[in-house]
Amino acid sequence: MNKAYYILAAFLIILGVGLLVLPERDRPDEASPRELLGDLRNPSRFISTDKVAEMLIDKDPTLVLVDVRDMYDNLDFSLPGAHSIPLEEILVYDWVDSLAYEKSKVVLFSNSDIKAEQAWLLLKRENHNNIHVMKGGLNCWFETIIQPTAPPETAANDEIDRYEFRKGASIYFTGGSAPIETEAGAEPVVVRRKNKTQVVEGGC
Amino acid sequence: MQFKHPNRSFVAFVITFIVVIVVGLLTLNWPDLKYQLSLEETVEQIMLEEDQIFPEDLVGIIEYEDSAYVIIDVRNPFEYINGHINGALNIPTNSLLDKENIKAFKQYATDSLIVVLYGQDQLEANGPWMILKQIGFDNFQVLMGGYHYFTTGPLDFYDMPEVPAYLVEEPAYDYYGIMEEMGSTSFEDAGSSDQPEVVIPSRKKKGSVVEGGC
Amino acid sequence: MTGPLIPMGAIGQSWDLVIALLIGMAFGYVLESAGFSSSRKLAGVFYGYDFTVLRVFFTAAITAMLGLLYFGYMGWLDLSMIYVNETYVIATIVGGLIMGLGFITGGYCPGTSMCGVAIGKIDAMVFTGGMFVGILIFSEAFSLFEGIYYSNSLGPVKVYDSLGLSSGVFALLLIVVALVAFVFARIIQNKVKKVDY
Repeated sequence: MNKAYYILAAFLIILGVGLLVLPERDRPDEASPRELLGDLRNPSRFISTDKVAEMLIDKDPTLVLVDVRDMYDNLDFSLPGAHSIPLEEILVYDWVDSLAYEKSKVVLFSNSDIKAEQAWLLLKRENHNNIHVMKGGLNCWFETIIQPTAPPETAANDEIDRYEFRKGASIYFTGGSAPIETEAGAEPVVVRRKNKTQVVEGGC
Repeated sequence: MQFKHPNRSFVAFVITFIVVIVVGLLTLNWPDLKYQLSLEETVEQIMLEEDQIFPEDLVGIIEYEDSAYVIIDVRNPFEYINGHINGALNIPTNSLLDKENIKAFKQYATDSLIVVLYGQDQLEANGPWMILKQIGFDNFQVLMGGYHYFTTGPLDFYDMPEVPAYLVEEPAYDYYGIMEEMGSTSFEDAGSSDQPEVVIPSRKKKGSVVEGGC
Repeated sequence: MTGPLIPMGAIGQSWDLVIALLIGMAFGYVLESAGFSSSRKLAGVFYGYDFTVLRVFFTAAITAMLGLLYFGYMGWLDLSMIYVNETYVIATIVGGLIMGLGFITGGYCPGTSMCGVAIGKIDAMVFTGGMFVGILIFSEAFSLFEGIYYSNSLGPVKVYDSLGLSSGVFALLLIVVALVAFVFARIIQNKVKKVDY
């Protein structure tokens, strides 16, 4: 038989074996470890409880709340409109595309922010964008929105405004009635919406 | 029937094909850090919650100068200088994957040392732990409560409340109870989303599937 | 859409037909230079005196497979964008039987019959005419065949998935099978009585 055919056959076998021998590469659709680290260093993933409250009150359609605690915690209490996707199942099916669209802000939360950030990192490795973490979680939600602490008399105007907002938000979310004002001519509590676009502040 | 010698163009084609593949392989950028854990394996590891260390245990480790442990502070150098845990090294998160640090981590793994990461709170050390875990360093642990708890809260086992403050993922309040108390019990309806079903045309580029036959 | 360049957006969609034309020309060239416009050469596979068809098409398939797998590995090609035909078990078997019958009887398959027409062979023209008549009959009588046509869909499965192998292992196995088949073809070819064409 012709020598050329032998060489050709040898080449084919080598190429075939080559496929087996080649080391596995990371899937190209995942973010590399260094990219993940870069995302970690960027604090823009955090969103404050105040901002979440504001978006809920405004019925902002771009807000998608996701509760990453387990199902029983979610049934006991959760934020209005939150979807329950426990951390274990956060990658199981492609919920991001079905719940969110381009302009959505997907906000993950748990009791604190650790589980939420773990979920965020996993989703980031799959290169999802627009995923946020509610800083402080539900513990912070209760401390700031539901039962806000009044700032001292000497506090800056900002803080006092924020406290007024939180008081109003508390009433909104608990469905209770406004507290009885003992002073004459007291102003009703107004839910003032300030558009703060800075990085998370005034949290827990 | 005799065999014609394969002509020149055929040989040229075969050689080109092989050269293209070889060049492609050689010019690939082989990333220096690869994931050792798939995403599913990572989720499993996270759910196990085994890589966490209690603050009271760390006290013992420092006191007895247990050389099986290395303590690393992932905060920035300024915070480190202002005060850090005794015997801790400073490797800020920003430089976590630098070459010298990776070398050091590999050395810890060979020496079978356990590395405790801590930040100002547990959250700060969580990210670095997750990244290192996925790259294949499984001897790292996170200090619960972080530096803040370590320097303030009760570290004596007998002084602690039933649910210590460093267990941050436990609900700190009786959520349902508080909501019930503060409002009517119809709080579940209050503020519930009548979020308008906004249909924003999603300009998703659906990669059109290539179809066709023979 | 002709991949991989067009679905990836590297060149515009109007190149679709141009690429199709170029590929068609290349295909016709290769078929003709392999001698596939002769019906006797093509039918040789079934009678055992000429296995060129087997060698050419098997080699083409292996080249394409290696190319796809290597390019996919290197990231030049997104393997998930490749259309995989759905597998209809009964329909494929019936269709294969009909095709095989036609191939042996007529000595052409659809692609090579076009080659024959291009160089003016009358048997190729008749074959092509018969092919059109067959297509017409099928379309008109489709309601009769619809059941068989759509039965038993396994979806777009790949061979190595259903066998549980990895693509690399399967590729190597296929190459070995091909080389063994070529050797056997050679042996058979040497033993069978030569046909003059």
